[in-house]
Amino acid sequence: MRLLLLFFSITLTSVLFSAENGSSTDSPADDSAPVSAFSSDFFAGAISDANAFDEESGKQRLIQLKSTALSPAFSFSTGYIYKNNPDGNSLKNRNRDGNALNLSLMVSSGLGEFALLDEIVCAPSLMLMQMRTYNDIAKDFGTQYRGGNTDVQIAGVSFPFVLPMDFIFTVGHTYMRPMLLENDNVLLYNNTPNVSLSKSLPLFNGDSLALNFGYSYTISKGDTELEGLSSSFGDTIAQSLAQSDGILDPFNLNDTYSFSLSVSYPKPISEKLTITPSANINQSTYVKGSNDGRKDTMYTIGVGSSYKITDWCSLSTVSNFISKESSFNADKSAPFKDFNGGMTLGFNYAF
Amino acid sequence: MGRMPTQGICQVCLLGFFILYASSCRSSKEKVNHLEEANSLTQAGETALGEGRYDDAVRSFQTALAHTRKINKGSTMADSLESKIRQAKAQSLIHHFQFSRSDREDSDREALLPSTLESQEFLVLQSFGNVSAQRIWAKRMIYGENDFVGKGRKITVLPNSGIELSLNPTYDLTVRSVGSSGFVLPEINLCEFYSGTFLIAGKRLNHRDWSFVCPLGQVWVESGTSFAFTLEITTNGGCKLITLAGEPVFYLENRTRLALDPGELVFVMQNEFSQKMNIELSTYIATTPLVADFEEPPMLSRKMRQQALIQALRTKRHYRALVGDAKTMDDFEVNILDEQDVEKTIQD
Repeated sequence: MRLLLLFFSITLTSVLFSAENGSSTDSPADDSAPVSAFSSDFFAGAISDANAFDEESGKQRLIQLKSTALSPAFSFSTGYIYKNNPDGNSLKNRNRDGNALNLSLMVSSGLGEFALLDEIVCAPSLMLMQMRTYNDIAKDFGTQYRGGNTDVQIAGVSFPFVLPMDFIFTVGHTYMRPMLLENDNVLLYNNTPNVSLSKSLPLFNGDSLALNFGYSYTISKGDTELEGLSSSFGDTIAQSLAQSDGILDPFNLNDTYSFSLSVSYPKPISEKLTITPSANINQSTYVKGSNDGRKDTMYTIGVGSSYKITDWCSLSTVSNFISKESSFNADKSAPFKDFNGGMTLGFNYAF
Repeated sequence: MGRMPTQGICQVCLLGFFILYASSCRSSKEKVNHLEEANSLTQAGETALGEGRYDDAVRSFQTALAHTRKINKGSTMADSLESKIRQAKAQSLIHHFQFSRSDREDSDREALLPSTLESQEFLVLQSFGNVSAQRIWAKRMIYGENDFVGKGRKITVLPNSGIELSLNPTYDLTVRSVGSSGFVLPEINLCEFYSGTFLIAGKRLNHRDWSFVCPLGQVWVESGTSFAFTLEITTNGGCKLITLAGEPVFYLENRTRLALDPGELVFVMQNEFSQKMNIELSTYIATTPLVADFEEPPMLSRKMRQQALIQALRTKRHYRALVGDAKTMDDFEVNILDEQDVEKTIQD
């Protein structure tokens, strides 16, 4: 299945590349794609291209600006993911070759663009997202994964500051609430303030290498065993059972601080097709309850591609190899290795 | 895979990030030894004076004087240099009239004063290529920074050349021009632009404190904050204005008023402005020789870049069209981009 998916990804990329070459003269009358994020290196290449124009007055390209400070956008995507290790553990009897279908709906809005001092620009944005995951849609494992189907609701606000020399410092906060689809049981509530520093390094060939360093602190609040027992046996029995140690601790001991370091190389093959190899290291340290002191480190290396079919529709593929290590590996449930890959069809519209 | 000290790696990377950031922000300018420069220029000036090259001599002495003023204990040396400048000017004056009496065929030169006596109203901030100053004083070429241009001079910039002048120190008002252009500096608060493209920047301008003249008429500029705009003389005798930073307000002779935001373009016609248009600042700043061809960036270059970023975030649509010249009084040219140019611009 892994080889099949890899073959499929390569074939799809080749087909898209061929299609792109064949349709290079078929571009739309204008480019109405909104500027969805900071392109900190948007001057890169322009300087070298400047020499190609011999106009003494410079190139004055007509544009249309947004009529309001707010810039709402709407996007929907659906993606099929293959997972070599759907259980996410290293037990010998684990299941292999799983799959999942992801659906996501997102509404976001830029909140304006603000100049600070002479060089800094801040463009805060707000995001609301609902994501649904159906595990094992091929029913390879019967109904085993049905209970794991989840809805995740995410709200986020971020304040990216474009600094001199194309550094971008971002301060943000994300609220996340995953719940089981089966019974609408909210698993936990995560509040994650985060900061990151990123830099796009122009390369000798005109491309750029994107580096990102991030730090976040997750404050998690979930059910306790007591709450679980209450729903099963009633409050009185639950209270008597609650005398045992640790039963009042939250189930989801997910209070963590995390560091992440990522590097990616977006390689534009054409106006519509971009291939992006990337690598990421993420280390999370748990700070509460029985997980206190646990360190999980996840290494991810992968390649993705994105093909812009129209201004409002794009197709993307992704293949990742993941290795997770953990200081908490007594039952071999925490460390694991996984290969996953898949494709996503996305639709977006900016007002 | 063995366990790696990831937290240490992350901390090292964070440190590396900040070192990279700090080193990026560090100024790359080398320190200048003013004493050595002053001595070297004084020697060069004396050589030029001995050879009868009075313009060169005065320029060398003046530059040496500028360096001397940056040395703590340079007052004696400065006095000496001022004396040498006066001496060079006097010798040039004598030589000028002796030369004029012996060469009556050069009537133009006879009517002009020697360039060594030129007044110093406008400081040359930088120049390259062939830029000449004419009228009132004898014609001469303008060389590099710390040169001066007197009031009333006509400046001619030849192709592949450029000049940046300080027009008014009170307002930090500067003008730069590149390529084929011609302009006159009749007054401190007035510029007459005849052809070419210009970038004008300043900290602020009070109403009616500064104006420029294009063939079609006079335009006053006012701004409460720092501003920068480009001006291009069009074939119809009007001009094209593009704001790069700030919000300068332009007034015509009939008191028609127009405020231009960064990225907005307007044509100045006879007693009226055209409709405002928006042009892509990032592309314009990257491709205009007014920014790219000079060694030093223009005043407010960081502010311009900031405005270009903000505009990029506010851009909804790119048109496949470039604004061109205005040859008649009724319309202007629009050049349609071909496919290659569109791809190039999108990559920009």
